Amino acid sequence: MSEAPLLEVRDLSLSVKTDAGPARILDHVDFDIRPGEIFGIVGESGCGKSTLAKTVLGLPPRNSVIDSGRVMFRGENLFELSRRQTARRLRGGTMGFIPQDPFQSFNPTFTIGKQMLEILRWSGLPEDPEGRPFGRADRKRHRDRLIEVLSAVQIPDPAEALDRYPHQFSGGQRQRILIAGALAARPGLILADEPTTALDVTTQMQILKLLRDLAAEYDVAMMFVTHDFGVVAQICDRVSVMYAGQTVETGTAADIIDNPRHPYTEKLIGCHPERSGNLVGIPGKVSSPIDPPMGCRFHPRCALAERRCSEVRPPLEGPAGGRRIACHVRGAAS
Amino acid sequence: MILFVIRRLILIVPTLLGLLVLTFMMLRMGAGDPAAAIAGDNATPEQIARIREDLGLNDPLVIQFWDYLSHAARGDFGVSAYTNRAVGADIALRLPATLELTFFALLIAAVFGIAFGTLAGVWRNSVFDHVTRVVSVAGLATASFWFAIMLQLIFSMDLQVLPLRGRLPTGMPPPPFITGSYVIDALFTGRFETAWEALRHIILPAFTISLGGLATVARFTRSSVISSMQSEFASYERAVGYPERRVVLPYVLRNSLVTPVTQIGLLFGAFVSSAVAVEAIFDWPGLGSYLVNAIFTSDFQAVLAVTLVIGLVYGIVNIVVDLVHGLLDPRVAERM
Ligand SMILES: Nc1ncnc2c1ncn2[C@@H]1O[C@H](COP(=O)(O)OP(=O)(O)O)[C@@H](O)[C@H]1O
Ligand SMILES: [Mg+2]
Repeated sequence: MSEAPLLEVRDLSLSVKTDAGPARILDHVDFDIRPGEIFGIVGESGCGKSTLAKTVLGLPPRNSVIDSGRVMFRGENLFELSRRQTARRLRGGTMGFIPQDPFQSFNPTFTIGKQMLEILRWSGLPEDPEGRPFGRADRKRHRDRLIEVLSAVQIPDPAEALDRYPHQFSGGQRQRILIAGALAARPGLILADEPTTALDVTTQMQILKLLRDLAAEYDVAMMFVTHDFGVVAQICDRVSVMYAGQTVETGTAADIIDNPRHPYTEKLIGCHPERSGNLVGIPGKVSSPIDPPMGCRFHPRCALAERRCSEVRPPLEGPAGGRRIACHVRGAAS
Repeated sequence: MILFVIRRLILIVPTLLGLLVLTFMMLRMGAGDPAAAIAGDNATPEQIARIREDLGLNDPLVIQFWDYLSHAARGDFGVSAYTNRAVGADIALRLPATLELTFFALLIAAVFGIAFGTLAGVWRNSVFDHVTRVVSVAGLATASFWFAIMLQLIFSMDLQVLPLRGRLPTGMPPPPFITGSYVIDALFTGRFETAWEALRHIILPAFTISLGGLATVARFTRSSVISSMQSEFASYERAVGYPERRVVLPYVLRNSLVTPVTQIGLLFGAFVSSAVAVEAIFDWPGLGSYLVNAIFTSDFQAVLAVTLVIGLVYGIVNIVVDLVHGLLDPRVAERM
């Protein structure tokens, strides 16, 4: 707990300009990820998880403004770096990214190898553990590294796989290759945006196990975005539950699953998510970020809502790094 | 791959046969009497009747068609009523000029259409994009004969930087025949002066023909670049650190080329038909003017043969387009 966090997201608010006015997609989001831990971001579809992940990667949506807060990675404020630096030093080199859809995320007209080499080519990672520079021209070394990570994700015959095209692999294999891509540049943090949602249940289990093993083996931290508490239970150390762009509850995964306190978390755990991430068990929809409800954004769907819930926004209360909750009724203050 | 080409080449045969039947029927059933055309203005009805008999025009259509086909299969396309020479020889003389012109036009449409379309897509809603859009709408709406004359007025008459007509300056001998394109043949044989002149002569007519196609290619490229830029794979490429220019080139671009390349193949037909008018304006000694004359003089043998040749080239161009698709997209190549 005394360890310095790898990633600090502090009081982050972000709006996008829409035809109907500004929409607050992220509202005072606040969490830390420590080195080596798997941190879950959980919430229904549309509550801002992908936007959060992209913003941490240095790619906020077009037409968006950061209204407040900062993102610190290894003590460096991401918003103070130039776009170029962000791209080279943070995104490519020290943060890996695993996208949601293994079917759409590859360019269909280029080989796996060509696409993965680009990741290494543009990563700002200066050296490998033996101290040799990752020379931009040194394609051979990059290729060897790719073969290494492809074996790590259990792709058979990795050298040959590099010369094949995406459509020649199954969905599960493609997701493994994307994971290898995220590992290739030896990142300290991997952002995974619902990496198993597009896969069938069996494949999903295998991929989750692989991710857990690799995170431990390579000592890499992970920000794991999902809408499914079943997945959280399998892989996450700590989680932050998001609703309509706000953090409603945060703590260790085990603690929250055993003892959810925020009414939204409770519902989220109790119901069965569909593939789409829409929750069957919770009536209503995530409120529109353009005209969000006053007070607690969840109150129109909350069974426990009181008068103050529609008037005052509940603050996220609790010890820093410990169990925190934003709820008038169930919160620490009540 | 080779099998694919062979299969496609074989498939051209029934297509051409269909084309031939159609043209044959239209010619025989329409107005115009080839016998009268051959006999000339001063012929007596008896002379015309004898020519009809000689040509077999009194036989049933099926027999006539079979007759034509069996000769054509041996490379005998009959004698032109207008030039009095073998149609095959006439075409061999003129086809290279038309092919050079249309392929230059295709090249211009492809290169500039793809370049402008890509930039307009990447810089969507910029001034460049808006200007390109206005110009392409204008390009599509402009009648090519009017445009040709404007080009002649500006570049040939006014500025005097490009020649007005023909394939080469009068008196300059054409290069030895290799491909039939003066520009390429002159380059191959080291006649740079000739190549340069041939190039100067082809610019205005080729640009005139390409105009509408250029606009079409630019528009198709633009919309497919825009959708590729918003695709999942482009967003992934950005997220793992590719610089934006790298995302565009080559990744987005290769994916965006499939639709415009199809368009370029389809354009060939439009280009040949616009060549008919443009060749007349620029005095280009190609098939266009030959075909116009053939139609006006009921020179049926010539019309049939030209139709057949253009159909054949069109078929080949579309096989090439499919091969380019295979080069662009490995999933297509696999099905070949
Ligand atoms: N560029 C954008 N412009 C306008 N609205 C956006 C944009 N990106 C995301 N949104 C909106 O922000 C909300 C959160 O989206 P997203 O981050 O994709 O959620 P999640 O990943 O949790 O499903 C949604 O309501 C979505 O419509
Ligand atoms: Mg999402």
